[in-house]
Amino acid sequence: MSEIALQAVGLVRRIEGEVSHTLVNGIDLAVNKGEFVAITGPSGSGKSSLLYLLGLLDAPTDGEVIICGQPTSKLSESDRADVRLTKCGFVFQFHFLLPEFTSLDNVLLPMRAAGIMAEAEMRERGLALLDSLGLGEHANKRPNQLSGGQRQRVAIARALANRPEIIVADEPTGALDTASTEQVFSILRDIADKGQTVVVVTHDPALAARADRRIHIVDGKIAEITERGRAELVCEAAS
Amino acid sequence: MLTSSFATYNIISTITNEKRQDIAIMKSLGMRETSVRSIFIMEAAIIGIVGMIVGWAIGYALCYGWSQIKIYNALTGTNVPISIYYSPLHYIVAGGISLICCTGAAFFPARTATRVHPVEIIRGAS
Repeated sequence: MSEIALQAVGLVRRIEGEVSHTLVNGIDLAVNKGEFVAITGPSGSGKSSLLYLLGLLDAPTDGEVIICGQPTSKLSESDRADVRLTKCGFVFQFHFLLPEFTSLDNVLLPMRAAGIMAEAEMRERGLALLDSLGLGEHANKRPNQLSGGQRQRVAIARALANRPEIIVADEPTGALDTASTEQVFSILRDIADKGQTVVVVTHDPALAARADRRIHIVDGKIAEITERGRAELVCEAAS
Repeated sequence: MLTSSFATYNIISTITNEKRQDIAIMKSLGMRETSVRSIFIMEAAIIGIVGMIVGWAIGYALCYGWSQIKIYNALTGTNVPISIYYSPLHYIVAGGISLICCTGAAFFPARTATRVHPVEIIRGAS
């Protein structure tokens, strides 16, 4: 039986106000370790809201998010930050790199915040990550000296910095051209194939089709789940 | 002290307002509020230290200038300089108070800014 990396139990996110609005409405979901899951759905369906809940960026109104066996609903904001820092890596539609920092410094940021590694070890890992994503020669460049695809790859390197169990990506190819989109697709697929769990929100049917499982959200609820066998993916890669 | 505290408050308020997106990014990556807040308090402390050193220099120069002024002493019938008592303790106390005021004034805007919900900023930027 596969080990569950990320689980949502009865997840509800409601915004209270004069007119209350339910963004996520009772979602139950389990994502296995090393699985690549794509969350799709029309605009305003609640897919990004679900992703933010799964990545502990937002707190549910009701329900529970369990990350690597750890329930999170009763954690303090600081403890939730610690879980985000060590167990989740985030990639957003826009790179959200710190503009004053070089690529390497941006990648080092989560490692420095975690404070687990020595400076030399962090730099070595940061450079290795950038190198593995084809950005070795851009380590000392600032975001404004990089192309959109390169910035997004730096953001992926930053997400991988603390060796998180789960990579959470919100429309990671939404602002990229076709060639960069293909690169980011391949990197995310590769990350999942190496054993890390990847959950991606996307409008892109091509990216969703390459996921192990596609979860279609409508009005904050799961409308459809489409599973793809690993064998099919291997055949596709071979061809 | 009040004026410099207000100035620091305004500077840090402006900086944190400009850095709202960066604060949201750092929080989303998992940095604790206290860690993000400490960046801005450190920034204020650096402003305070620079101000303190400049203040010491100006204070010393003013005291020296003051000590060069001679006033007529009717009892002795001579012109005598104004007596200034120099003590490092005065500089340390004044510097310490200004540093506390500076970091204290920065704490409140930094706290307000770091309470920002990262999702609000990330959604706003998307």
